[in-house]
Amino acid sequence: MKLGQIIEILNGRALNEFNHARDVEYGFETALLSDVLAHAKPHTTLILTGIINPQVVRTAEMVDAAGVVFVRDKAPDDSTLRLAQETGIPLIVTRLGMFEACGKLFAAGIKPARQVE
Amino acid sequence: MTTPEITHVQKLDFRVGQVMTRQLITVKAATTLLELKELMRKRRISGVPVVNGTGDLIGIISLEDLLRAFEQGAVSGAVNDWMSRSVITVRDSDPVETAAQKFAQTGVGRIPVLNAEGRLVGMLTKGDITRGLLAEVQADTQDEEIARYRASHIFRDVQSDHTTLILRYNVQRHDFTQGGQASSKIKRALTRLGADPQIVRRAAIAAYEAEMNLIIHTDHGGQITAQVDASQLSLIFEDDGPGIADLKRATEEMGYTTTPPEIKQMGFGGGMGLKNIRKCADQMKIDSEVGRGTRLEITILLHAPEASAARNT
Repeated sequence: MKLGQIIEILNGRALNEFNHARDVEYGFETALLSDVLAHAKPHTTLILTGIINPQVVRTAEMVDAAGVVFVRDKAPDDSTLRLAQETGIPLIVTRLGMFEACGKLFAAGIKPARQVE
Repeated sequence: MTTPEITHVQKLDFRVGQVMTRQLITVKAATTLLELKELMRKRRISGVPVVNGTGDLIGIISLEDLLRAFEQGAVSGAVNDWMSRSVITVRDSDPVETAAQKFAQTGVGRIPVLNAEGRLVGMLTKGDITRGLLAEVQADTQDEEIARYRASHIFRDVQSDHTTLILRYNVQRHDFTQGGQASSKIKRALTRLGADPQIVRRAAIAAYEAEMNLIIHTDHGGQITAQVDASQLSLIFEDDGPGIADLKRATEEMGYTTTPPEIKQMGFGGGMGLKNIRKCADQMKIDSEVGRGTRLEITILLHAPEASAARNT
């Protein structure tokens, strides 16, 4: 699935300029950045979170994530937006809560980045 | 539609003088239309500036003007009767963006270029701008490629018994805005040096976890030293306190953390950092003493068997 479709499904909006055709295969919801660092799969993982500080962008950069979705209409501050611009990490915001956002993406075929064996 | 292009031109700080054609083909007011026609055909041009005896620009005549004259049967006329006298010009010191805007606004095909003294010094077409831009962009890309190539061959090009690249970064305590910058720079350096992307990612994750530990837990921040040679990367994280009281639990027990709640709210302190670092590293060594500080050293091999296999295919 493409980032552009993710925006449509979540009825969200892009917070910076990025390639809407970028692929997303996996999703990962978290309130814990170490969790992302430990489990995200490279390049096609989308991070869903309520954390809006710059470190969420740093984390996405380190794991080569496909992008970050902020749930519940949480607005990141300028330092987070600046870092996203600098590192090229796509940022999306949605009014949906975490449960609904994840549910919609899962139903649309996004796989969990951390699968239970 | 032209906005991105114009932004790029601005970034390049391109001046009209750098892209204009300097070889001037001019005619005089007295030049006949037949002579003009021959000149245009021979030189494959569709517009010519008209100058007076001292070389000053007095008008411009285009293929369109010539056709208009011929249509009206003025075959034996001279340039003087058919040229445009109000000429749009640009300065050689003008940004290319200004010229691009003039082309867009007026629809003319060529613009005479004047210097600061008002003398005609060149001609500018849209093609000149495109060619100039293309050359500049290509030169940029080439420089970038050369830099990349040089970086990735540094260990082969520099002759010594053992070449090591040492990168040092200082990390401030509780700097949650800038935090992660060192790891980001290490990640970029490794990519530049041509390391396998999977290995770069492991190194970046380990570096970032350890860098955040310095930011969250230390009394005064600390120092990161990255040593890269042809075969491995070692990352050393040093601080002068407070030291880890229960090193065994910190390195082995999932979820064991001493992170204060207000920092946990920011998404840190899952009690996974050191465990995750161990997972990413090929080797990890940690020494810590309460009141003295902590030294963490991790090693990542740059040519892991599976990575070099992937590179060779």
